[in-house]
Amino acid sequence: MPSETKPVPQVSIILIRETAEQMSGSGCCGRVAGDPCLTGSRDAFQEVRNQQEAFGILHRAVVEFFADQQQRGELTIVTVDPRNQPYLIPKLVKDVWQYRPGWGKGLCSTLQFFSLPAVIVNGRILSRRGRLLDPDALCHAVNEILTASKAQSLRREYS
Amino acid sequence: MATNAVLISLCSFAVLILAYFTYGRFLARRIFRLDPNRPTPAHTKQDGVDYVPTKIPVLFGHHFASIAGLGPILGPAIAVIWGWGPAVLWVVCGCIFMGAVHDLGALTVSLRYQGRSIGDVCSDLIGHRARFLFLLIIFFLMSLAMGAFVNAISALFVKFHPGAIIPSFGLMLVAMCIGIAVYRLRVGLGPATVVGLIAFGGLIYWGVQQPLPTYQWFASDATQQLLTESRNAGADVDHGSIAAAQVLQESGHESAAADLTAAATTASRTWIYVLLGYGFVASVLPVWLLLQPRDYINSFQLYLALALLVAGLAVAASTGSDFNVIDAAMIRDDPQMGAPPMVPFLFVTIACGAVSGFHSLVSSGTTVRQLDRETDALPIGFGAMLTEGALAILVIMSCVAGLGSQAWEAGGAYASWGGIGKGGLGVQLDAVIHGGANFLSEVGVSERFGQAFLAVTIVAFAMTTLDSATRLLRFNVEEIFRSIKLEPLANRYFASLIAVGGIALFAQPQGAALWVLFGTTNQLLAGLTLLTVSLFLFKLRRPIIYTLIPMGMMLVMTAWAMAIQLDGFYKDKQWLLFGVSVVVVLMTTWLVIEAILSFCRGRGGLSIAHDDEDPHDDQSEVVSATHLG
Repeated sequence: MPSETKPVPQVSIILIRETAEQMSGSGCCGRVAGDPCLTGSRDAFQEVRNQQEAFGILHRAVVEFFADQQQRGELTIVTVDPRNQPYLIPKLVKDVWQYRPGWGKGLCSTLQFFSLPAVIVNGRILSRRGRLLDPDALCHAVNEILTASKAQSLRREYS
Repeated sequence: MATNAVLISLCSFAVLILAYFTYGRFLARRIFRLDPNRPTPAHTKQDGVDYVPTKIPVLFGHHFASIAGLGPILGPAIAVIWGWGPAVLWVVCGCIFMGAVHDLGALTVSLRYQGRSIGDVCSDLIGHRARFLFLLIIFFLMSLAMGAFVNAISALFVKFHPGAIIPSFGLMLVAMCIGIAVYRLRVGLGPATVVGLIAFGGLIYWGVQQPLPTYQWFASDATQQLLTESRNAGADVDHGSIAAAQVLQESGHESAAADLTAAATTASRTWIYVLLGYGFVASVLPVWLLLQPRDYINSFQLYLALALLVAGLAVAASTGSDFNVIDAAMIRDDPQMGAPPMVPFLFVTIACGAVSGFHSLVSSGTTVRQLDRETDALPIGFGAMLTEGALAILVIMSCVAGLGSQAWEAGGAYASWGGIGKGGLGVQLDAVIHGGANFLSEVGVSERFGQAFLAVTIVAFAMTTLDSATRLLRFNVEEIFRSIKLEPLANRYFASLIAVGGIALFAQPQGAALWVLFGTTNQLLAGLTLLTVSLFLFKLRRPIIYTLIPMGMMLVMTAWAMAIQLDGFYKDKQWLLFGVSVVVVLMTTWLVIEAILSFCRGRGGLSIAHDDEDPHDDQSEVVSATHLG
């Protein structure tokens, strides 16, 4: 039986933002911010929460507009807390290696020359100085990549 | 024959891994019946905010960082007084049959309740009184934990590691600079992190070179003069008040040594007030300024400390170093030691690291909303708990092998319970720091630098927790007042006062008794969660023995330990601890009654998605089995 290789998604989106529930130092005995029963649904970390919600808009926009592509595995989207460096660093290196955004841009991504929160698409930093990205701009950028990729595969097919 | 620390660690890790692939899979397939095809709340409620389908490596990182902290360090460090054998055995068996079952159970129940928190679910399954009990347990749990942390930090600063003071407070300034740079000036995260970590290293170096013996500030002029003379003569009196008092005693200045010990007690109390004040001030500062960036640095410290400890242990094994040899006895049951009986106290002393009720809050509050597939609950819930068990094993090895044989001899840290129990919680942390630094020295980190690094890491964890816990405890107090219809008392100022007062009350030097109380309350929460999970399984007509036995054991151990403690506190006239113990006993009794009532009510009233009631057909069992390997 031929072995099936997992296709490389055409678009890889990394949303880097903090999670309010993740903040409390020594884990175990402090991270109760996620339990509305304890906190009466109040947010101890309001600013982070606002950012989370703003990123939710980006997430929903991508999921909504590119549902088919996501289903087919052509697009992946991942939300990471910057504290999770053991995952984030290899993921950034992998994306830069896979999508080759260019030396400068690749280096900026892997060395994390972005401020929080950040949006990285195919190894390229899309957000500017921690300013929140417009959902339209993100969808537009993703669409461009998908269209270019489609055109390329068509060219390859006919040549 | 000398016992090999690496061998014991590797055997323990192997058993934990084996348990994951056998017992873990069995529970996931046959008891909780995790189904990869059933949509999780992360998909059905996907909003990109709380409900986000997340890959296993990402979620594992988030979940593990949320459950591993100071808890699995302090408990095992105290419990090795009964020998390394019982501690290792309880961590391994407790983790597999109780802790991991508890975490996986909480995650699964919350999954079927569409991501609702365990507090919410238990009030649904058990009744409204259970929610109040839940809130009450959390209040005691957080106050006791924070009291223990404040107590331990002050002991570390005064009695053992004055070299950690400058880096610990310097780290706050570094964190604030990172906060301003990253969140306000929008400097890149990578460069800010690199600069921050270099500054952190520099601060540790500074602290090592210039310890701050604050105990000296409270000593008489004559004692200060003697200390200066000893220091000029080359005596090592910068290691803390205990070492300094020993130097004075050995040189025949007994009255000066007594004066220094009294000064150290005053200094410890002063630090407790300073730290409480810090907790209050830090809890009202904007989070981006201190909490957020320091917590970010904490994550690096946790991973770095873990990596260095593992590397140190591996090098010690390969080079045949002395630190690979376990110096402690396998079982210590010497009545002269003055320790409380191993059973039941071992089971409440090691809470985090074996089974911790706190994990249910993380599993159900946050993690569950990000599970991509139901079957991911196995690596996340069960796997992360086993990983925490591995961390506890490393801590045990740091104490029993890394610390050297003198710790177990007369006058050593573990010679008697009086030494570790009543000398404040800093003694145990000091044992971990010393033992851990010895492992670190195997990979080329100087002993003093390693000690300072571990001390500052532990202090940073504790201080960040203190900051956030003070914030959250206020909400908890407000909720308690609302639950008992005392709305006027549920205002932020009164609630803040109660929150800080609660921590202050327990922050007085109480030694290991305070930790045992914390462990007991934590196990009680675990019991409540296991009751909720058992009821859930009972209503679905599934076997409940796998959750009911751990629940029963938690309750029996809790009640037993409390009964013994109560007697001791009464005889010693420790009225605060006596009062808290009475409350814990009452809460345990309450929980037992609720459990009996819940089971008597029968199987009705399950308000989860109805499809769960249908037994899985063979096909879906096969699919689940395939996904679980």
